[in-house]
Amino acid sequence: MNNPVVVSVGWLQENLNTRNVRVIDVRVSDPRLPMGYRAAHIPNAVPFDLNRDMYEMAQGGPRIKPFETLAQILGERGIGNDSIIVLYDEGTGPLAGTVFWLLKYMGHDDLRVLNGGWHAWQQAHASTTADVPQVQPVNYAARVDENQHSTAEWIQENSARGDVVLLDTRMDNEYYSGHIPNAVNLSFDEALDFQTQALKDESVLRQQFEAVGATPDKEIVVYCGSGSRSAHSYLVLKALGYPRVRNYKGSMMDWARRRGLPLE
Amino acid sequence: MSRWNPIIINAPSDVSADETFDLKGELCPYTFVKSKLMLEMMESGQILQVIVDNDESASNVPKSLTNEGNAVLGCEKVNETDWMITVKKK
Repeated sequence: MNNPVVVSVGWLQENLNTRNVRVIDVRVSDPRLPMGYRAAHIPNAVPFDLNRDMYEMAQGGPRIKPFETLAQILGERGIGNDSIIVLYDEGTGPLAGTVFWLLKYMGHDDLRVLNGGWHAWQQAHASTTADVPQVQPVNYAARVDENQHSTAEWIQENSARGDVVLLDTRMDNEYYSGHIPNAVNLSFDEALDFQTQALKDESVLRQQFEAVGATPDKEIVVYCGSGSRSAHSYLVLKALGYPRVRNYKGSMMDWARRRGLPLE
Repeated sequence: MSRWNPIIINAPSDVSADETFDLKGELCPYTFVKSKLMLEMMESGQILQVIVDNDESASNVPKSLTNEGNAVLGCEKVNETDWMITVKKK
């Protein structure tokens, strides 16, 4: 279970053709932007677009598709329960974070993220292609792990526990405009080196979280506006080996907008 | 009720955009990520105007772009739902 969460360009280059490795490209796909999977991608990578593949429209806005549907999408793209999945986005950003959290929620075991993403791959002059790989569809079974997820009810029932930390991962101006009571604040992008688009050094990341009281002995519940920036912080905490982390996917849209729950 | 309060900055009246990017209907984190990708295609010093239609994006996109070294010249509410964010590429 102690697989490294974050992998380097060198590691992926060495293991790209390893039998169980499956690379998923979760970058932006927009016809107005001339980059993304269709333009070029890591060899053998398959795409996964959050708008098309993860969300569906419902009354009240977009929601995550049923797990059975997501499992079918993964299986059709040749991803099995025993796959070593490597995700990448433009850097090591919230798109990769969102899919990382989703797949952990679905119970996937060996899940990794390319540190620095597409930016790092290009900086290393690693090989790219526009060819879409031929994949062998397989069965994928979702094994939902509710310990990776939080709801408003869970927060209301558990936030008074001394071992629970609510972590607001929005910008400080958003936090000070109103946050879930007792939440502390660390913006998700404090984890990023903007030059390399990789995560900062492990020692720096640990110090950031510990400075706001989010220590490894606590159960950390991350949230933001709509649960994607917090998914990035979820990824970073898991990369640091934190054993108990939940993403409140509904986040402020759920807590404040839909439910009108109190803020401080 | 949510108290998201995007910080209003009035862009200088003599600013004209080199590119305008309509991101209405896009949710976080796409508003920030797509804004950043559009800026990557532009020259240093050029002006991008981005339209978003939710308070969350109007609150965090300006700061995210500033954190990356760009200069946000404006963040203005243009109608009941939409915000225009004016940014100069670093």
